[in-house]
Amino acid sequence: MEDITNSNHPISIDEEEKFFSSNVESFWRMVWNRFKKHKLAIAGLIVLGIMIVICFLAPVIAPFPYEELHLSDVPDGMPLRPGGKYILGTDQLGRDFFTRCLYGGRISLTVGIVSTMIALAIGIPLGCIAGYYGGAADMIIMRVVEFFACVPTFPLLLTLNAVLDNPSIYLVMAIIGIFGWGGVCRQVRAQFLTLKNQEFVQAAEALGYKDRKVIFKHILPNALTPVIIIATMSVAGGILMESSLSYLGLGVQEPIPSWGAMLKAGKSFLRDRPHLCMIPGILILVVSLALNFIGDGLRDALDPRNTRN
Amino acid sequence: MDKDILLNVKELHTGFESPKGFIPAVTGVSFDIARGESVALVGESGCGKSVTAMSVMQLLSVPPARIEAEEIKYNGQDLMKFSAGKMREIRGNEISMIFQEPMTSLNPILKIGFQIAESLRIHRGLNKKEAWDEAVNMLRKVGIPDPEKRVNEYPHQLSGGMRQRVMIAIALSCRPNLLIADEPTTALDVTIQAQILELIADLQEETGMSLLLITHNMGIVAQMADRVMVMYAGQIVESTDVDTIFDNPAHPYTIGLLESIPSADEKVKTLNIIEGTVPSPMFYPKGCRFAPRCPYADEKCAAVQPSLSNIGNGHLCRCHYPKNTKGGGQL
Repeated sequence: MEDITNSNHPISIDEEEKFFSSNVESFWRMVWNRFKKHKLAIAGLIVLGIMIVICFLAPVIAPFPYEELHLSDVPDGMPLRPGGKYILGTDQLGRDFFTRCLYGGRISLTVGIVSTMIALAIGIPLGCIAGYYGGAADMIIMRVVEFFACVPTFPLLLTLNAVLDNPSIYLVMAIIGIFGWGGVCRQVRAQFLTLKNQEFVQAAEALGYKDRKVIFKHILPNALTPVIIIATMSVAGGILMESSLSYLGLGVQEPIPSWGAMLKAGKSFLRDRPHLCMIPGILILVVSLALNFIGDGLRDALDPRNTRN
Repeated sequence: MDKDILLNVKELHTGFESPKGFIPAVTGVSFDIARGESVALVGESGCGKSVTAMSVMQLLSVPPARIEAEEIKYNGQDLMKFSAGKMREIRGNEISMIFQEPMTSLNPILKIGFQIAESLRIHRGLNKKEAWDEAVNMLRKVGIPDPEKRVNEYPHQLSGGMRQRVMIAIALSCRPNLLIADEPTTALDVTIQAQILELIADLQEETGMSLLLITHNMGIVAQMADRVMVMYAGQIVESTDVDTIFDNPAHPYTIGLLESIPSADEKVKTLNIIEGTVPSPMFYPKGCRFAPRCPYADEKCAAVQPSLSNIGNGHLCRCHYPKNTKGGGQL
C-alpha cells in the first residue's frame, strides 16, 4: 500500500517533513517538559507544594494545639519574641505563633481553592453556553453576570455578618465563589465568540458532532488557557479576600486562626513585635506570588502552538 | 437520463437576515449529482458557491440564515425534512466536507490521530483501538509518510499540504458517498495543489464517491470535473459537461471567465477582464443579473430575467442570446 501512495506523489514530501518531525510524546509529558523550563513557575510550584504539605500536616507538625493558652508565659500580655520554646514566639495570649501560622494557612488555602472551584464550576458552563449559542441565552447570562458585578461583595459580606452573627467558614467560601464566577464566565464567553467561528469548529460541525462534543471537546480546551490563569489568580484572590475579611473581623472567628485574622491581631503590637504582622503578611504574599507564577508557567506550557522551548 | 442520482437540489433559496435587510445569497439553485460523478461549482467570490454547499449540509445557523428549498434529496430522502439529530448522522458520515484553510481547519490542541479516530468512533461505532488503527490506515492512504508516528502529532507539526491531507483523511474516514470540497487547494502552493487534487481524484476512483468541487480556478475544473456549473450572483447561469464549457461556452459570463485566463502561448500586454463587479445581493438588477456587465446586453436583458433553459444536449444556459444561437454576439 505504501508503494502505491508514494508513487502517486512524485514530489517527495518526506524531505520537507523531516524538518518538522519531533519526538512522539504524550500531551501531559509535553506540557510538563515545557513547564519545567519556566524557572519561576517551578519555584512557585515547589513553594506552594511545601506550604500545602506543611499546612495540611499541621496536626502532626505543630508543637502545640492552636488554641492552647500559655498565659503564665506572657504575664504582662506582651507577646513573646521568636526563639526558645516557641519557634516564632507567641501572641498576647501565649498561643504558639508557629502553630497558628500552620493552622491559619490551612484555612486560607482551603478558602482560596474551594472558592475558586465554585467560581469555575459556575462560570465555565455558563460561559460556554453564552458564547456558543449566543442570542437569548447569552443575553440572560450576561445580564446575570452584570448583576453580580454590580453588587459589591464587601458590603454584602458585612451585611451577612451582621445578619448571621457568626458566619461559618464554608459560607465565606461559597460567597467568595458565587461572587467570583463572573470574570471566568466572561472570559470563557469571549474565547468562545472568537473560537466558534474558526474553521476547525466548522469542520467539527461538518463532521456531525453533537453540540456537547463540539463545546467541551473541541472549543473549551482551546479556551482554557486564560481560564487557568484566572483560576490561579483567583485562588490568590480568594486568600486575599479571606484575609481582608478576617482582618475586619468578619471571616474566620476566634479561636480558629487564619493569616488575615493573625495580621489583624498582630497590628496592636506592630511597634514592639513586628514579626506578628510580618510573618502572616509574608506568607500571604508568598502564596499569592507562587500561584501567579504557576499560572504564568501553565499558560506557556499548555499551549501546543507555543513552540518556544 | 438514467443516471443514478445521489443528490438532487431543487429551487434552493438561502438568504441572511441582517440589520440592513434580507440578503438573498442563493436564489433558485437547482442541480443534481450522480453517483461517482464530479461536479464543479464555479464562480467568483461572493456568488453563493459556499452558501450553496453549506445549505446542503445545513451548516448555517438559522437565524440569521434562512434556507428554503423545494427539496434537497439525498439518496431519495429529503434532507430538508431531517431533524437536527438525523442530519448529524449524515454529516461526516455520508456527506463530508473539506475546507479551504488547512491551517485552521484542524483543532490545534488535539492529535491528528484523535481527530480522525473521533469521527470513526461516532459514526462507525469503532472502539478506541480500532479507530486508532484505522486512523493510521487513513493517514497512509492519503500519502502521509511514517503514519504510525505522524498519528501522534499535533497540527502545528505539519505543513499546509500535510494538514490538508489529514483533513481529507478525516473527511473520507467514514467512506462518504459525497465529498464537498470547498476550494480545497486555494490556500496551498501550486505543487502541493497538484498533489492534493491527484489524491482526491485517486480516492474518488477507489471509493466511487461523488464530488462537489467548489472553486474559482478553471484549471482545476478542467482537471477534475465531469460537469461544470457556473454560478453568478446567486444563480446558476450555465451548466454543462466539462468539454462543452471549454470548447463551446454559451453564457457571456462563462466566456468572460475563460477569456480572463492568461494563456501561456500568447503574449498579451493586459489581461482580459470582465468590467464591473458582482452586484450586491440587495440590489440585483431587475432583468438579467449579468446585464450591467455584459457586452451584448440590450433592452430585453435589462428588463426581463432569462430563465435557465436547455440549449441542446442538456446544456443549460441562463441567457436571452446564448452564443452561437440566434442573436448571440460574435467575439
